[in-house]
This record gives sequence, C-alpha cells and structure tokens, in this order.
Amino acid sequence: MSVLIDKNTKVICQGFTGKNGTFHSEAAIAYGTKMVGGTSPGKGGSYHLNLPVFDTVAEAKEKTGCDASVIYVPPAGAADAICESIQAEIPLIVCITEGIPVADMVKVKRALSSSRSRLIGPNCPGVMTAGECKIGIMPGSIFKAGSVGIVSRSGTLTYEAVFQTTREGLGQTTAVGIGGDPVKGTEFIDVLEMFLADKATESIVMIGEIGGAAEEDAAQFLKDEAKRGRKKPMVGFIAGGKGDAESKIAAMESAGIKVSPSPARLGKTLVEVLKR
Amino acid sequence: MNIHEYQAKAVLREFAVPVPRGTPALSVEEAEKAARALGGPVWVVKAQIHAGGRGKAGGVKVVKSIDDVTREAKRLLGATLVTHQTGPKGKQVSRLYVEEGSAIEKEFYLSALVDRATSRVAFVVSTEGGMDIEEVAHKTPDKIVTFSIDPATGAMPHHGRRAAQVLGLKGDLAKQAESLVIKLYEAFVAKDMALLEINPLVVTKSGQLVCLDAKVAFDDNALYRHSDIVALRDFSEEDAKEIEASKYDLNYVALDGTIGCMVNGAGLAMATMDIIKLYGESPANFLDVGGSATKDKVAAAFKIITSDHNVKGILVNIFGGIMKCDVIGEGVVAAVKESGLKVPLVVRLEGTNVDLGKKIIAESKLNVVSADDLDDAAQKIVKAVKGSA
Repeated sequence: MSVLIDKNTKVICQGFTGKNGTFHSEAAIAYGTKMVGGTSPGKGGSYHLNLPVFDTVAEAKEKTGCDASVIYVPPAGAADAICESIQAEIPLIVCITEGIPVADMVKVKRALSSSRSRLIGPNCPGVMTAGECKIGIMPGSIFKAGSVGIVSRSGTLTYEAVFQTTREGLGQTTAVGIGGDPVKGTEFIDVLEMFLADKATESIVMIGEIGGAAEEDAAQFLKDEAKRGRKKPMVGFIAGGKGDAESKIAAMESAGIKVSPSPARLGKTLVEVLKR
Repeated sequence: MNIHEYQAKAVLREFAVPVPRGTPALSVEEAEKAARALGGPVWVVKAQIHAGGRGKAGGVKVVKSIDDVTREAKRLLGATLVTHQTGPKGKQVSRLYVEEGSAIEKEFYLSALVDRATSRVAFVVSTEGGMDIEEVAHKTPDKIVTFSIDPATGAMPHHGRRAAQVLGLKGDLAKQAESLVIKLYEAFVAKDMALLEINPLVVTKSGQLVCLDAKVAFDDNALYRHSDIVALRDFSEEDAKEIEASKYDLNYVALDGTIGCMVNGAGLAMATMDIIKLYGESPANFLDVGGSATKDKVAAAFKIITSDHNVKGILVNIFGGIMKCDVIGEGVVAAVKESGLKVPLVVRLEGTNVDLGKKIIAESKLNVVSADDLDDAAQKIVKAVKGSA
C-alpha cells in the first residue's frame, strides 16, 4: 500500500520532448514507472523514448488511459499546462516547474476548486512510492520500500528525509513534495489525511519551512484526528530556525510530533520515537 | 523586485488611482524646478530609498517656500538615512520626489497582497494609518480587517463598500472607496504585484480619497512579461553580489557569519544554516544554485562566494534531484582552477549522478574535504573554520 501512486499508475509527461522532460522520463522508466506517453504541442504522432507523443492532454488521456501527468513545461506555459490537464480530468497532476508567476497560480487554484483533479506542486520534486512509481525529480537510488510516509515543503529536504530513513533501515511508503510556492495544489493536511488512512504507512516525517500557517494548520488537524483515535508516530523539522519557526515547532510538539533540532537527525529521531 | 515611491505612483496613475502631483529629482536644481512647476503653496520633499520609516528618519519634509525645497534637497541628496528597515548602515539618498502638499483630514492603511491561506489576492484595511502595520497587528489585531477577491470575478463594488465600512467612510467618500479598490486590484493583477501598500491612504480636507504614499513590490517570477517594470529597477539599491548572482539566475543572500554556502533549494539553504549554527558558527552568505544551473553558472556562483572577504571556509551542500552532482563537480573544479582557493572547502554531494560528481572532484586533485552527510559536512566545515581562526 501507499498513497497517491503505485505500480499500476499510468503516467504521461507534459513537456515530454524537452531537456528536463526527457532526462526525468528516462529515469522514471528506468525505475519501473509505467510511463505511457507524453505531450509536446506540434509533435503529435511521433515517438519519443519509444513512447507515443500527443499534441494535447485530452488525446493522450483518450489513447493511453493515463491516471497522472507530470509537468516539466517552462514557467510561462506551466499554468496553461496544468489547466489543460484539469480540463482533461486527469486525476493526479504533478507540476515540477519552478518560477510560475503567483497570479497564474491564483487562477489555477480557482480552476482546481471545481475540478476532478488533484495538483501536487508546483515548484516541487514530485511524488514517489518506493520501488513502484517515480513521478518527478527525486533521485530513485536513495529510496527503499518500507513504512515511513514523508511530506515536505522543501524539495531537497525531502531527499534528506528519504536518505536518512533508508539509512536507518525503515524505508518509505510514499514521499510527497508539496512544493514551496505560496499558492499550491496540495497542503500538508491533505497528505497527512492520506498517510493516516494508509495501512502500510506506520510513521510520518513532516518537513516545514518558516512563513505561512500551513504547519500550524497541520498540527491542529493532527490534534483533532488524535482525539478521534487516529494517530501515528511523527517526526518533524522546520527549516529556517528563526522568525516564526519557534511558534511552528511549539504547535507541532503540542500535536505530539517530535521536532528534530537538526536536519541531519530526522532518521535517528524517528528511530528513537519508534522505540518508545 | 522593489521600486521607488515615485515610480509606484506613476504606475498607479496609469490606472487612474488618485495620487498627489509630483516630480522626481536627481539634483537640487531639478528639485527647485519641480517645485516651481508644482506651484505650492506647500511642498513635500521626499527621499527615495527602498525602505520604509523614512519620515521618522528625517527623509520626508513638508516645506512652505522654494528656498526651503532647495535647502531640504541639499540636505537630503547624498545623505545616508537610517530607518528601522535599512539596517544600521542605512541607505544613501540619490533620488528625491517633490510633491504637492496635501491638507490631511484622516489617515488610513490599505494594502493588497497574495494571501497564502485563501490562495487569492487579499486586501488589508485599517483605520490606523501612518503607523507600522505590524505593530498594529501585534497590539490591536481587531483594528485590521482582511478580505479576499475571487479571481473569477475580480474586485467588485461590494469589496469597496466593505473597505468604506471598515474605514467609516460615507456618501461620496464611500463611492470613491469603491472605485479605488477596483482600480488598485486592476493595477495589482495587471502588473503582477506581490505587494501594494498605501500607508497612509488619506481623506483630504477637500473630501478626496488620496494615496499619499505607495510601496510596490513585484513578483520576480512574472517580470519576464513586464519589460516596463524591469526598466524601473534601481541597481544602486541592491547588493552588488546579489546583482551579479541574478545575472546567472542564482539566488544570493548576504549574511554576517564566516562560512560561504552553496546549496540547491531554499529549504536546504535554511536547513544548512540551521545546522551550521547548531555547531556554533554562522553563514557568511548563501548561494542557491536552484535546479537548472549549468557548469558555467556553478562556476560563477563559486566565484561570487569566494569574493566575499568574510568567508573563512566554504561548504558545498548539494542533494541533487533535478540538479546533477556532476555539473556541480565540474563547476566547482573549473572555478577553483581559474581563481584559486584560499580557504577550506568541504563538499557534500548526494542524489542524481552522485558517483560521477564525487569522481570529478576526486580526480581534480584539489584540496577538497569530502563529507558523507549533512551532519558530517557541517562538523567538518565548522572545525576547519575554527582551526584557521
């Protein structure tokens, strides 16, 4: 079990024939992800990496039956790419693109609110279920199938959490990078809900950053869920140990999350929590 | 990107937002000429720097004669203003704005920004004008009202009526508030602003709602579609190293410690800073190479870090996802070969193409300390810096 994606998830890539689309699609295929094609407007009908290229997402969905789309389109066209996938009713959209104008994301968020799609990102490393499916840019080599669910606002700190939980022998179910932009598709709470519901996920690592109130909201959500009897061992970290970090750490600790003082001790702290 | 008050007001004027008449001036002569053209009887001479709190620091003066305009212009041009936002070094004044004086009845606060909680543009309105809004939020949060705008409808008259109600405006002034909120929203969206702050928004004795001050910041991610805004950039307001970094699409942040840091990603940057502090040192700067840097960009980044004289040691901490470790390795090696290395260098590479990256650095025979993980890297660089002190 895992959340969002598994070995049966069929994935297309928007921006398929570009440099990033090509590099990371090759890595995804090598990892065993069911890549079924991609889009590149104007190149429909051709093949890339032995997979069909389509002009539109609607056509790609019709021909491949894809469940998810990963977007590597440059910032100026990224909002359009996300909205094209929303229009085509792709269930899971993962946008890796960094640097999308926030005004574009305000519109995308409005379009999402009345849609059948879930967006992860933008400006995120993607979603990865260990040993099964790699969507995005997370390095596959650091993953190991296991029991920890990881959710993070920071791309590179997602890798730290994965790397350290692998080194401690725990491994991961799914790692979700929700992205660092102020306006994004999926928040901590959405992913925490999935991890609490997922039987294979036995513990959770959550990595926040200073700014905003998403960590406080997540802490409140976890408190409420704990009252209903849903609770899993959790370790947290807040990057940028100044400003509002203290209040975020206090909120997380009060919800029963053990907050690691060092980003290098996420894995070890989780092992200690699990021993208790 | 930030701009000056006079530039912000020019942008707002394009959207028919009511702002006082004024003219920018780069010299005492230009200030005099501007004052004569405006006609008086009251003028305001305002220092143009990218920082708030100018009034308290003596950077805004109300005067009643051309002679006084001249005197204030002479005093301000070239002077250094220290406000609560400039830091202790202050900022040098090289531009002035000469404006017609306004007879003020009441002062309010109004701003627009992108609100994370609602994922929409939100307006923040308060009767407490002319004050530091963060202080107001802290002491009297009930005096601040926030409402957001649905992007599908844009700002509507009812949003303006809400603002008018909060500010206690009736009759014609309430009508003016309706129109003002709509115009400000249009300007905010059309120009991809990140922040639009009117503090104070005033009611004049003649019953007009006027934006007496204006502070505007733009979304850097959207600058590609606003060449008119990019042209307003004042390089003298920015750190020279930050300008150099921005030429290569790199993010540079100057700090006051001793360790130069090259990382990928804002979260890793902050976490690296946290762990360096945990071991008793602090970063001199941060260079975030992001996800798409080339070898040349990495080399440029490395040179920017080494050009900072406070740097007593360098930590390269890269966890490659989209960023490939071999590109980092090649860039670092190229930069060191070209400009040398006078301080200890600790490199920690992990992630995409890590083996290739480590091999490039090992084969270069450079004096590089390699580290296995974040903890190891932080300990090694702190030890190296303390040893050299």
